Amino acid sequence: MSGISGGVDALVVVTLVLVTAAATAAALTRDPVRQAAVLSGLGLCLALLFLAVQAPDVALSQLAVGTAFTPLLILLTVRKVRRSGRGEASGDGGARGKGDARGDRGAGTARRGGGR
Amino acid sequence: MNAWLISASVLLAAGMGPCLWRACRGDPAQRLLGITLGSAVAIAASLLIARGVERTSYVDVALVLAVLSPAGTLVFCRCLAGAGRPRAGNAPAGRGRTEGS
Amino acid sequence: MEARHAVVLALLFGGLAMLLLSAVALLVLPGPYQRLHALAPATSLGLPLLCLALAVDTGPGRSAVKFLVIAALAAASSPVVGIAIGRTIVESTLEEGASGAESEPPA
Repeated sequence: MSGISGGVDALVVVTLVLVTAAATAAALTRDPVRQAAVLSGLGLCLALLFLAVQAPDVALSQLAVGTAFTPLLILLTVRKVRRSGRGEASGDGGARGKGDARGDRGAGTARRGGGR
Repeated sequence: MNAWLISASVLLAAGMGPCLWRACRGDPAQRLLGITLGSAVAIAASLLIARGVERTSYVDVALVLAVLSPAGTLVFCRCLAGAGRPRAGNAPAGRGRTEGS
Repeated sequence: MEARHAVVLALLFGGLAMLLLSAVALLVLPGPYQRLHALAPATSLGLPLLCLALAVDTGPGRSAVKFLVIAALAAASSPVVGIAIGRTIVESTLEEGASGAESEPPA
């Protein structure tokens, strides 16, 4: 039993280091599309950490949320913002003020992501 | 400290690092490579952990991951192909415009 | 029993070596199309070998079938995901080339 506990301790240390590295990288990434990719990797490492501390149900829900739902929501939001910005630039969506501000910022992000 | 847990630790330490490094650098399309290989490494590691701690119910995590990770990657590809397009001449852009107006 | 243990260890180390080789290949290969090939050994050879080792270790039964199902899922979804990622890389490269920075031709 102590042998298994030693192996689990090594596993927890390794996954903690991975989670720390992935979370730092996710915090330092600026572009939302690239951040979605890093967040997917962070969700994977976090699910492995939950599995290593013997909580498989939390690992299951973290897999479903962190691998599939969060990047999908981020990508859909970025797509919607860029499209509303493009529609506002071509002249058929200029009736709402808040939408214009968001569209301008989204277009700026698109230009910065394309130029990098 | 049995062989399965040692294998899982070595696999995570040496195999997950390059995947995270690839997922953190470069073009958004190339980060998908790191995510895909990272999910394969995570499937292997969860199988090894399930065998190492003698709990067969942990295999379900690997099964869910094997089902969810290709679906997530395909959804990622689909959204990425539609999001980075500067010109509005293809079918998804037209559909989005009709539902926006 | 001893021969079975040796077979399990051989399959386990083979699968582990394939996964680590794939990770090293992802790290050192230059260019996106070369890195796309680094996914193949892990999902089509490494994971099935590992699942085969676990299935041989547990013996015949329902859990062995579950391991083999996981291996089949990973091996079947790998080409589909590879094709989708390759198409996304081609599209993004063409888009960059249209905006002025042509890096390398596809394939």
